Amino acid sequence: MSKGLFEGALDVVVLDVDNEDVTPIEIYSALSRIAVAKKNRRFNLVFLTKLDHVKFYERYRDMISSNISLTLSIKRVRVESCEDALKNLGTLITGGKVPIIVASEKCADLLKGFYNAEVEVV
Amino acid sequence: MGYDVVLTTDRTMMTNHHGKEFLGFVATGPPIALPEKVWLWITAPRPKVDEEGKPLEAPYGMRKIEAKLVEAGFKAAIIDPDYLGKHLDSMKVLMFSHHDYFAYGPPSSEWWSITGLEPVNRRSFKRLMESPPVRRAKEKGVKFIVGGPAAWQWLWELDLWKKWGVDTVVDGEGERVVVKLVEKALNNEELPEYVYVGPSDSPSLDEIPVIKAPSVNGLVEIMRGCPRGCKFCSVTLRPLRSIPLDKILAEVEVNVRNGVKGVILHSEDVLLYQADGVKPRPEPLIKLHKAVLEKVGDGSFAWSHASLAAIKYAEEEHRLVSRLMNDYVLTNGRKFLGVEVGIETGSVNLAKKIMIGKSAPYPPEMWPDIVEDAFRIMHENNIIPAATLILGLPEETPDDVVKTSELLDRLRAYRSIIVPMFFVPMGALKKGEWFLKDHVEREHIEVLYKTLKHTTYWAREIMNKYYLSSPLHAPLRFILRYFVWYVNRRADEFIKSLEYQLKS
Repeated sequence: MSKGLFEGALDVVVLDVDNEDVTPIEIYSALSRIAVAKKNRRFNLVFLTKLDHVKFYERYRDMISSNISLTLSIKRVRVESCEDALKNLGTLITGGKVPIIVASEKCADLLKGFYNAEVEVV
Repeated sequence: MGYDVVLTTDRTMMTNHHGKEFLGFVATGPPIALPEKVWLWITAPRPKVDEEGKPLEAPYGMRKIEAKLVEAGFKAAIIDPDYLGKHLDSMKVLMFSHHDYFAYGPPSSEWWSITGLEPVNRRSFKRLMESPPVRRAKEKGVKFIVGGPAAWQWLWELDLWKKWGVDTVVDGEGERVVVKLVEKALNNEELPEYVYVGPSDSPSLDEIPVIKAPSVNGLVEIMRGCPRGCKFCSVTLRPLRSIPLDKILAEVEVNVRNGVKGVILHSEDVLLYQADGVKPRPEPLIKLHKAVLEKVGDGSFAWSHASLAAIKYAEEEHRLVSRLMNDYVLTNGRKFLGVEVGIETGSVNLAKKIMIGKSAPYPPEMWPDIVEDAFRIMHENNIIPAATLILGLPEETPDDVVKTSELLDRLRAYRSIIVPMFFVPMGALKKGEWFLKDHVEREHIEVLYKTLKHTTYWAREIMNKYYLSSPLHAPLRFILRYFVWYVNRRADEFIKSLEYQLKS
């Protein structure tokens, strides 16, 4: 996450390995809540997702195009499973600031791990 | 000199449109009545370039990004698309910009939905991206970054985004993010796929650089943002900033020094330069016009956009429009001023719903009168507006359209071009699912017919007496007169076919 575009901005990781569990509107809602709570309008968003490029942007297009009050830098990392996501997250977390996680409930083991590591989960 | 960072765009943008900015709009239509090559010659002749392929004039937004990168120490330059091959060895980042990459903006989508044919600007950009030098650049690992006012359109062309290997799409004002992005690209660091620059990251006046080389037809920005808050416009989300006069003059100087002797003052509302809210103030506007026109002498002069409410207020409260025109703009060699204005609707009810701030400082109830008064003021002062109307908005009622039609009757006497634009859902055109004939109502046909007759009537006079009056423009004038005749004839048939479909 230290490689995010906006230095000093919050880093948010969205786990979307199951494709359907996290809806764009939930992510937008989470972002808005974080923005208000942290008084920060800039986000480096990393999606860990199973979706390919086209499906990913079709799915999140509404969120992006209606996201008029925030500054976003969006990066997508393709993963096949929760284990893959965990591996990627490990790199991201040790690389810089502790990210905020918007997570799929199906990755329950991951969530437990995050709580133990005191990573904020929205 | 080898350039690490090359900025480019397709031919419809990399041109000076024969020095006639309005001819740029010809590229928004499909090539009907004429072969595409002739169409391109009318709208987008090749610009003068130096031995490296750097154009004398380039789109203003690209000049800003080029200046920002050069000031940050990068070897960056704008290169004409025909000369990209010369820079493949040094190029590490290739940046693209466009006003309308895929013809989803107005009025391209309008012509596309009427004819069912891809507009020239879309064809031209696709040709550029499929061209051998661009493909070779991708093969050798050059990073592609795209931006500009039409960056949002990439979200509706995902297959092409992926196919052409675009690394990053930047949507919004670029000054604060472009240096960081290019730095990452040159260091081979991972790039974000999409960057949306929100209002809180709009650059301050100090962060906006002065262009280093001339802009197309001498366009210089005098303001950014807009305070009116219309629902259909994204510019209004950005904070309003007036560029200081010394910066504006420095850019005019860059243009004049390099042989571009005209000026287009660019703003969403030129008369609001250093205004008191939405009330134009004489002092800064007179100072601006005096200083700029002293530098360009008898060169061409235009405003990019002005609001009808500001025109009415400026004239009625301060006689400001006639003072600017008579004391500074009009000369023996300069007989008119062109400007784009937005009518959008003749309905007070719809105006209240979609553009409640557009009539300010007057109440929205006065909107039709504001439009007519502003058109009269412009007609009397040799200002020629190119005006837009929006039809088919989701909240529109038949009565709203009738009100627009009635307003058009009141505007018939005033010299102007009026272009109707249909609200088209994004993405529907590409799939061939949206055509005007399937969405049109009887009231729309009447408005389309009236705007067509209005525009073709005045177009002849504008071309002959004002816009293309020079003997040098005789070939262009001839072709465009033929085109206006052709459109007039075919449009009658089109209107009849729409009426027939409504009856059946």
